[in-house]
Amino acid sequence: MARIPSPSRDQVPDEFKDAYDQAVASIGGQIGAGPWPVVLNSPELALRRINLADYLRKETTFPKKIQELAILIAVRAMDCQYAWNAHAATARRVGLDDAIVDAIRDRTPLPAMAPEEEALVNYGTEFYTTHKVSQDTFQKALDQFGAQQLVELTSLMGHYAQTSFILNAFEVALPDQLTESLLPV
Amino acid sequence: MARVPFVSRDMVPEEFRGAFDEVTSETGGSITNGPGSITLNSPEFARLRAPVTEYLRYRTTFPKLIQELAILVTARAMDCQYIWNAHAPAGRQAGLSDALVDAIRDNGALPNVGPDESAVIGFGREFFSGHKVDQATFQTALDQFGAQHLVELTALMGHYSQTAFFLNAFEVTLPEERTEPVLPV
Repeated sequence: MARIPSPSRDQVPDEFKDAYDQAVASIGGQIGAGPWPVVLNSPELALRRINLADYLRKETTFPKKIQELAILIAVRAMDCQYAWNAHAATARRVGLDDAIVDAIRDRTPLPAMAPEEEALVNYGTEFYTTHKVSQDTFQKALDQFGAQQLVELTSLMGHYAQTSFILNAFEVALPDQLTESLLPV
Repeated sequence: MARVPFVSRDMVPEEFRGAFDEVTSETGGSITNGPGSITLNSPEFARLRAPVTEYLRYRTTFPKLIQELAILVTARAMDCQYIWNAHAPAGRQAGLSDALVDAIRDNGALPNVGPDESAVIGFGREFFSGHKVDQATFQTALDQFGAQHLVELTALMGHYSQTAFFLNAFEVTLPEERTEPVLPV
């Protein structure tokens, strides 16, 4: 549930029915939970955004662990319980240390991390805290990832911050069965 | 100028040259300003982001003035000088009062504004400052815009906050000729 319902196909204006069908097909034929039931209120936007999200999630070539770490940084910064609950579990599964996940959640000092993890955490945290990134932090991230991947990681964080805005503003409800502790907010 | 060099076609790996050509087809084979100069480091990402931007900017049907206002609220919240400089004049041109634009820039008390303006400002500011939107603010925005437009305005603000991340983190420089005062940060 959320503050607004997801439109059924017959509620979608004719001009958007194709986009609606394609969008639903792209997310596996089921509207499911999460941001998509809300975003489908604008079917053409949903379709275009799904294509973009698929690239960031599935076509980028940095390690899955780095991808999930970027997502966690963004959703922690945006206090998004829904995305945190979904991605903290995934991050642990792909090998991100529990101590790192827990420290990001609780905003406690971070444990020792691999250089690429540290570079990413500092980059994302600095931006979301101060809206800029110091030269030293930027250079370390660039050295670790190169320009293409750093652009993609920046995009991924920005994308999940946008997702957080949708999930929080429209109050998409958490699933009943939680496997993760809530973010302290 | 920015913290990374502009991308030229010969720097792009073979597999991404098609995407590069598509993205730069209307700008003579390169992009040397704004967020596009950064996203081009990932040509396929840039290619897939363009339709989202295009939809949010040119296909949505809420008034241009509301669109520019949503962008300005975001640029101010993210301290993004580049977006502010580009969109404050566009906002004035679209009919936002100078007093309103200046008050957003300076985080000052807002002048009297229309109910749709006030609804989008309240919605955006609440999310960016507290990461949630209270029921009254949400309902006021929903009543003003309806579900489709409110989803699109939320996505627009999220999209521009992603753009702000590129522009600020990669330090894309402001144009030399400016007509707007910078944001007090």
